[in-house]
Amino acid sequence: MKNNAVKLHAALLLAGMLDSAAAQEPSRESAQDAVVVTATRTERSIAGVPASVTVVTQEQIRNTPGESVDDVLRTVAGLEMPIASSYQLHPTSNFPSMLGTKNGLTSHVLVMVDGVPINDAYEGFVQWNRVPKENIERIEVVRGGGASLWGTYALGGVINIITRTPKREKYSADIGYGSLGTFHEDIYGTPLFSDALKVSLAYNRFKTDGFDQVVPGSATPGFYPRPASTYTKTSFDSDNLQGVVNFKADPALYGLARINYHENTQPEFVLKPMSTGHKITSLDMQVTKLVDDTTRLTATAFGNHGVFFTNNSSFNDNFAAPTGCGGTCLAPSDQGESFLSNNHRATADDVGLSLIWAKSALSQYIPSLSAGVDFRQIAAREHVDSFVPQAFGVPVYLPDPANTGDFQGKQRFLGVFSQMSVFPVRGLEIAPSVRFQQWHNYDGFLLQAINPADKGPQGPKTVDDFSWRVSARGEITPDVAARAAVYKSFNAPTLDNLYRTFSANGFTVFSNPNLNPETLHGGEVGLDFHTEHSKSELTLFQNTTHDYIAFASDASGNFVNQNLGESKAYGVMANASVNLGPTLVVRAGYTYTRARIVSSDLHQDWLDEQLAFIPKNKADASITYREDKLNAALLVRYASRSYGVNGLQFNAIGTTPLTQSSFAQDPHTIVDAKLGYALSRKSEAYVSLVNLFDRKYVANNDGFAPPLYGTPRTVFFGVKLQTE
Amino acid sequence: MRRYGILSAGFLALALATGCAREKPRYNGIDVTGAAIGPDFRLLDPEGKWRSLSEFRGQYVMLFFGFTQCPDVCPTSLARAAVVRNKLDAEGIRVQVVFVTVDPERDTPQLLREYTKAFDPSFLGLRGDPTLTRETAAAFRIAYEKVPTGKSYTMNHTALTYIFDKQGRPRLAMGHNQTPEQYADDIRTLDRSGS
Repeated sequence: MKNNAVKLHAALLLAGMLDSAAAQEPSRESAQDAVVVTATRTERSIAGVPASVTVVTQEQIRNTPGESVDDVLRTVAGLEMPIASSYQLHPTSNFPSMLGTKNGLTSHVLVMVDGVPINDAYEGFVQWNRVPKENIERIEVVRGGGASLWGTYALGGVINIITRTPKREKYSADIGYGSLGTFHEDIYGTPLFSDALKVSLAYNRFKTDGFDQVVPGSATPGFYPRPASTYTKTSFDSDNLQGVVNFKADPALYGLARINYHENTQPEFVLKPMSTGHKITSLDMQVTKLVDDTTRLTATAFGNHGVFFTNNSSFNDNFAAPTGCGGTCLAPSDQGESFLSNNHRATADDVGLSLIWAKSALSQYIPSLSAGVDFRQIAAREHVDSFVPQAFGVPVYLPDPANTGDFQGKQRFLGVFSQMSVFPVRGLEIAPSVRFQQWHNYDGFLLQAINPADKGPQGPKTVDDFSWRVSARGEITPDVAARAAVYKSFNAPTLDNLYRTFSANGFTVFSNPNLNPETLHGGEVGLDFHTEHSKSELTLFQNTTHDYIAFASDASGNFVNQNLGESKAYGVMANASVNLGPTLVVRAGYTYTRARIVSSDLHQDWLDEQLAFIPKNKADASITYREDKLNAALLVRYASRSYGVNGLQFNAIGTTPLTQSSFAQDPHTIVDAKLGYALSRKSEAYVSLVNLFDRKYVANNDGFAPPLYGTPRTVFFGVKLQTE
Repeated sequence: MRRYGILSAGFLALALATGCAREKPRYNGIDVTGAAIGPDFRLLDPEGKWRSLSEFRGQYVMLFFGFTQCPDVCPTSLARAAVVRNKLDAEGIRVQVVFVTVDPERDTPQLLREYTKAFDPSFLGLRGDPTLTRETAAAFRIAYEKVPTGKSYTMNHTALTYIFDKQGRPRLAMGHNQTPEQYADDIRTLDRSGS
């Protein structure tokens, strides 16, 4: 990968990019006039779209000081992201959700790049650094059940990251360095550019040495606090190499082909023996044919090959009990050491296809109708080596054959969907969409199970689902519209949920091959305010998730993934964006979310608690100023107290009952800032400040690790150069 | 005629670039052929018998230095070595795994036997006294040091695995993050080349 990077550097240098030094490309795009493609799976102006949609513009992305896309999305109203940055968390914690649907075991948001899913095929999490900020044109966030158009993962909504398409020949480099050993470089170039063919190459590198995340004196459930020297900083290093070919055979036939290679590592994660790494190679292609002035066919194909490893650790004192050490217990004097308890190496391959037919201007009353079919096939295999401490006078770490071996599974999704837009009377749009999908799960194999008889090959399972959504939007005045939607949405358990048992820090979470899909019934009502200089919305939402999936202890105290019961969420969400003249933009957002389990045969202790990871109150505000050479942004983000677990989720460990309050994540108000100055028409220098006032707050407390702080104050300097 | 000339030149260039100019094999590990590693050791097995690398001629040797109380690198290296050995054994490629302790003070012969046997009964654990261990490690370019941990100590050590060919020559240094498939592929490549 580093060799590839060197080659790309050389190519770009040869192309004379760095000689021609570059300037900040003027961009006065705004959220008011954006075109969105995600809400209806066809192009629509955001001004009239019958859904709760936020478009994060390139300018906003550029003005957000954080280094990763998730840092940008964290402040979007209604969206539930982990508080800590993705590269400070274990990848398997990076699950976005929306509107109170978080479950901590998988994503409840479908995340795509240009309409191609990037949720990990196997586990559902998102490697946000696969999509460097520099490559993004805009991000569309569509709230509320989206399975009727997009299928699984879109239970709570959809995020579609639209990458930039070359508009002219261009070379650019953005290189910066900052505190915590943070470094990034983004190199971009268009070695071939014509009307018919545009080829762009991008290389992105990001690394950070991390910081002391563990709250001193804290411990994971069931263990005593360790000295600070036990823990390590979580460093992160990622590379992304991408080549894109945009082609236009004729005005009626165009598309793109893209190849992307991403790799990242966390050489040490909180505790020394813990580490992670992921390599993903992906290829996708999209072709659009304009059959006539009103009819369009779009075909998309994609494939991903991912290799993911995780090394998990534990402390050897957890094995001191006679049942936990195979009868050869460690002496107390030998306890206290962390060791690598298991390492996993997973390979996941997925391929997908879709074909969409869209017709516009059918009649005065039916301006658009679309229909499509899509297919996705996922296959995952994983090998795990497990180790246990044994006493031979001294502690040694030997293989654990019972928990060593391979497991696997496959899934297939087939969907047929349709959407239409109807204007029964002037100013009122009704947009129904329906989708039939079949989820087929097969070739499953369990390596670990609570009951040993359950190990081995698993039977196939097929579930048919019918998801739907009806959205409506009516103009009250030219500037004000009322909006409403009701929907039924769907989310299938991942292969990870079904087959991947894992152990970390002394306890095991068992997979469950009998999990049923989650379904959601919900709705929202809202008002859109839209003027030449502003866009704002107010939305009330309510939803119920059936067969909510979470890990929880069973009757015997084992942790196992379960369909726990029914969760309900309701809340209010508001956001506004106002241009105060040509140089000043003010944005603000607020979300109140009450989300809880309302019925569960298994865990009465979870009832009525706020669901983990969802703060009841979340708010943000920003002001950006831009004139000729100066670009400045000040951002404030607030989240109220939240929790990393539900009920007595960890009660089976240790002797002291650990309630939800033991896993608090702190309320916090953080100020970030960014300042850029154009040195010339081709160059800009900038400084980013994250957590300006250096607030200390617990940003993650999920029980898998001790409580972890959020990013301390960091300062980052960078220079951007580009051709005109 | 000129076209044939160009074609002939093209074929010649292609032949030079591929077949005639024999391509160097590609490995996942670092090619250490010819490097001053070893070339041999003389260490004691758990039964008290002196053993050396040269006695394994005719099979590949995976050589790893570690210690039995190692909490992460050694167990995973030996578990991986077991997978590699089993894969290749099924293909008729014989591999001997040798584990040399860098902590002879604590790694008694009995402990060494139990430890290696737990991963694979065919694995061989070797030890020397502190001086012989130091000399052997230096000859094989292995660094190690004792690191106090308060009540006890741990060992920092090089986490490479050497692969020696059937003639006992050092050929590859494999990294700790490489997969069993990558290890096995490299040994297969060596085997195909007749090494």
